[in-house]
Amino acid sequence: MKTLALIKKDLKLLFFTPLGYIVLVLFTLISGLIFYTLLSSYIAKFLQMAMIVPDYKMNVDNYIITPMFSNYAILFLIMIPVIAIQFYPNEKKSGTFDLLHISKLSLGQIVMGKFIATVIFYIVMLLITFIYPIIIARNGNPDFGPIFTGYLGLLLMGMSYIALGLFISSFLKSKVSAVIMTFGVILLFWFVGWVGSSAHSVFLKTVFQSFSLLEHYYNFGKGLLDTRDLSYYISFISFVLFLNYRMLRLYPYLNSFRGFTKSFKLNESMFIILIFGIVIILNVFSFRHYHVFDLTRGNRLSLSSQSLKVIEKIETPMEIMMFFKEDTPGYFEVKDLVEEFLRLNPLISLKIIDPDRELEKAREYGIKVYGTTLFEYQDKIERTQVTTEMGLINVIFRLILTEKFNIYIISGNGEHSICDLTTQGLSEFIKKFKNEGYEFERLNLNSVEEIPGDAACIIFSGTQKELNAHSKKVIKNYFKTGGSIFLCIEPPPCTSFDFFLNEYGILSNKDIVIDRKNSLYGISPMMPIIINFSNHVIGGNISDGIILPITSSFSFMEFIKEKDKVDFHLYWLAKSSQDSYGETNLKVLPCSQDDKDIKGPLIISIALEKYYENNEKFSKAVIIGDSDFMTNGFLKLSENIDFIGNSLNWLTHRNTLIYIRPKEIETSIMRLNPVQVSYIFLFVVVLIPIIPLLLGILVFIFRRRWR
Amino acid sequence: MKIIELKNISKHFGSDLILDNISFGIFEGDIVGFLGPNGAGKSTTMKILTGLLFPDSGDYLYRKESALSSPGLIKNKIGYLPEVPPIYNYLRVIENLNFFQDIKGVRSGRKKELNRIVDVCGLGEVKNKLAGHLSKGFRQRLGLAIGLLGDPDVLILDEPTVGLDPIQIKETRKLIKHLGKEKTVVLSSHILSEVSEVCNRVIIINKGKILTEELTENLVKKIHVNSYNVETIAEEKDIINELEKIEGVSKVAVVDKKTSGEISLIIESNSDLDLRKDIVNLFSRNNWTLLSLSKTEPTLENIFMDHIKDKEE
Repeated sequence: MKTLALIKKDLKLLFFTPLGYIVLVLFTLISGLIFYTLLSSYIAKFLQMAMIVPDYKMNVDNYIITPMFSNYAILFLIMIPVIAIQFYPNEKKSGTFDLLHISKLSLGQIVMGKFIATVIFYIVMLLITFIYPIIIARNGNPDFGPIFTGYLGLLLMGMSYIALGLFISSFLKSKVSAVIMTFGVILLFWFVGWVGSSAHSVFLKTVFQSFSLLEHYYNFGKGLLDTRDLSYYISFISFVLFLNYRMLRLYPYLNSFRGFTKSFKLNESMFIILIFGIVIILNVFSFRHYHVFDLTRGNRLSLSSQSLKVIEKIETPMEIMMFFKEDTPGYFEVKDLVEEFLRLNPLISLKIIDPDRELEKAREYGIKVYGTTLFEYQDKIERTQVTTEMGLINVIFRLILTEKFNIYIISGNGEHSICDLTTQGLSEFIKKFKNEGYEFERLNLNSVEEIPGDAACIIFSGTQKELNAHSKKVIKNYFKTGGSIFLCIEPPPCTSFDFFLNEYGILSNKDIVIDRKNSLYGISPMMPIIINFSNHVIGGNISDGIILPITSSFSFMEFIKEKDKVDFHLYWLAKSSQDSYGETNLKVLPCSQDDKDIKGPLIISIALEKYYENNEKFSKAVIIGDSDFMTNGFLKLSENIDFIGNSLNWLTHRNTLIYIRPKEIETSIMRLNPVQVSYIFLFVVVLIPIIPLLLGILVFIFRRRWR
Repeated sequence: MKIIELKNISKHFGSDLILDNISFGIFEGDIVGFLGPNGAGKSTTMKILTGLLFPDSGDYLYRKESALSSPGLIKNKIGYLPEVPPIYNYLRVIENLNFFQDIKGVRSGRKKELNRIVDVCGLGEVKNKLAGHLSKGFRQRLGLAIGLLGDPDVLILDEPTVGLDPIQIKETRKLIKHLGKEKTVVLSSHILSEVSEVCNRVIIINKGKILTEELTENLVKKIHVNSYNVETIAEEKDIINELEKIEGVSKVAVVDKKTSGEISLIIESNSDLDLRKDIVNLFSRNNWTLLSLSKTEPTLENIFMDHIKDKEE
């Protein structure tokens, strides 16, 4: 009752004087402008991207809602101190503070009354901003989870500002110094977080960031409800209110510090330190035992349990660099994922680099395409263009994996040798891929009954002789039970593998691919540069192409088109250019194209997936019409290494060591035409601010009527 | 019965000693005037009485219990009107009163009390005005009304008539006298006439020390200083000799001498009797010219001079 009277009286200070209305008009104007700016730039970017990428979906949550909340955090940083510091100096100036002190109000009631009154005014400000999400919801499908948590975060952060402002103004007489000091202290609590993010030690980083008012707000803006953030804000607010209460208790002693006996001073500070200690202990506890609620649509931000396990296994610092521009497709997906990684393991750090602005860095790390994410762990580096959780987690998993993958290189039929140091040998290939977690061993099929069980993959590199029946049986058996084969067939085409190819619907064209365009670059037409890759994971990130010295091509047989009758899938990986053709007359080379030749583009490489055990597992093979490209002489040309690396990763299941089911989440988008945008401008920037202005004028007139 | 008793109270502001070991008591039903020049420690004492300021040492007893060890004791028992009336300018008069009634925890008979106080303080005509638009006199009355809310036992008024015009002063004094019939009133002032008119007891304070504490009538008697100003043309020595012979005259002093032969004299007496008749008789007997004769009332200055002199002696 008494507190209620105090709250009512303090609200009258805000609503019956010009001050409250000035703040409201300014606030609605600025927040309206912020919203309009975000909205119009979203629409402009959307239209621009939609022209380049058909069916482009631009996420409203990422482009409007999250930035809107971060802008409000700054806006309130300036507005709230102005409101919160009004009460105590006003009471002191009018002398009414003395009467509050000797009235039946307890000090706690005074502190809470002022706090609640300011919070009510703040909630009114927040309520006005509800208009913006409503506008978005009318024209699109925003995710309401982040909107809800965003407002909750704003409320808690604002309440912390309010508590600070009240506390500071309770012992300062001048409003100006109270505003400046409140502003300064809030900024200090922001800076702590920035200092933390640049701290080298993980412990310091955690300590600094856990004191930051801003760091704890960040998750709310994204749609995450973290009990640690809740406990931080609640402790912050309660502790500052407690200080405020202690400060009021000292009021009858003020002006005369002789009133503080030594023991009084000691008691008072001991008590405050004790309470502070309890608050810290509670928070340390809450940091150890916490829960994060993901309120985004389809739990967009929650990592799968497999990911959590991988992230926890990281034991030395890992640096992740995103070479993205903000409008690079996938920017927010990768950023959100990596930020989740950071949250889970402080050893991970993230740098976002705009490759246009930091050209040197992009060059240093060999970045060729926008949207590359680079992982640096110990002395290993991996780059990827994937944007899915599964893709990123597999990259990390490969980096932290210490287990080796055994690859058997088949020998005994004229293949390239792993010991050969000449241009025809594979020694460079072995050296390169040993660093990436593979072990290589030679294997003669005639000397074994079956492929060893520890084989992650076998490689045929340029088999010359016909295989005997035993070898064929070994290969067939191996492939039927989940084997992985990298089949590099050297032209002039040997027929050794026809038994295998034909079974899976692949026809070797027995030709040599001639690319006439090559003469333009002064390269032999028999050495095609392959730049045409499908979006299969093996070729997906290859941009400069691979160079194959003499290659033959393949075709798909008719029967594989009846998909339900076969238990395998074929994907073309690479094709030759439009200007190429397959020369079938191998006796006179080079020669010109004639009717018997096969018209380009021609399939050069194929990925094969065969299902077994009720379609739950699959065997894999990569087939390519050349083997020389992996020898010492050609390995380092163009992106040959990348193609081989991708193939090995895929064959040994290293991309999908961890399978994470992709989330199917509806993207929040919004569509508006320019006319609608200008109506919104009129509404939020002109009409809305006029409302508090008119109200203010009305109240002003009404209050003066009984003069 | 003593409702309030201060015992050996001292108070520093920074390194300045504001109250130096003062002790006094206030009886129930008293109207006590706290008299002293500016800076004597009146407001500080008032604030200690309300509980707004804690003394550095000493004790404050309210109905024989220590108000320092249990500050809740005096909450709502004491109505307080500081030097500047504590008013919310952005609230109407009635809203101000309502608010203070709320925070003083008045529950029953709110409306009745409010109407009575509005009547007593003469606020009826400005009830709905914004407090910020009130004149000085009305502000003072509103402040007093706020102090009266919640029916306190003691009313503490810090310089209640400062800055008012003569008519307002007169009305305010009348109001205080009226209130004094029901409540114990402590008021501070630096005007002796105000205190002697309104109060039944006077405490005089200077430089943080209590000079005296008396019933008003006793004080006036005890001072015994009646002084007379005389202007005459006569031989200085004769006049002084003769005047000193009058019974009751304690001192005769020449204040001014003019070339024309006029002299101004001050005659001080420690008798209650009016000596003007004796003086006029003396002059007519000796056939001296009496230009003027006037009797002056004792002032605060006189009292201070007196007490300080006493102490020195």
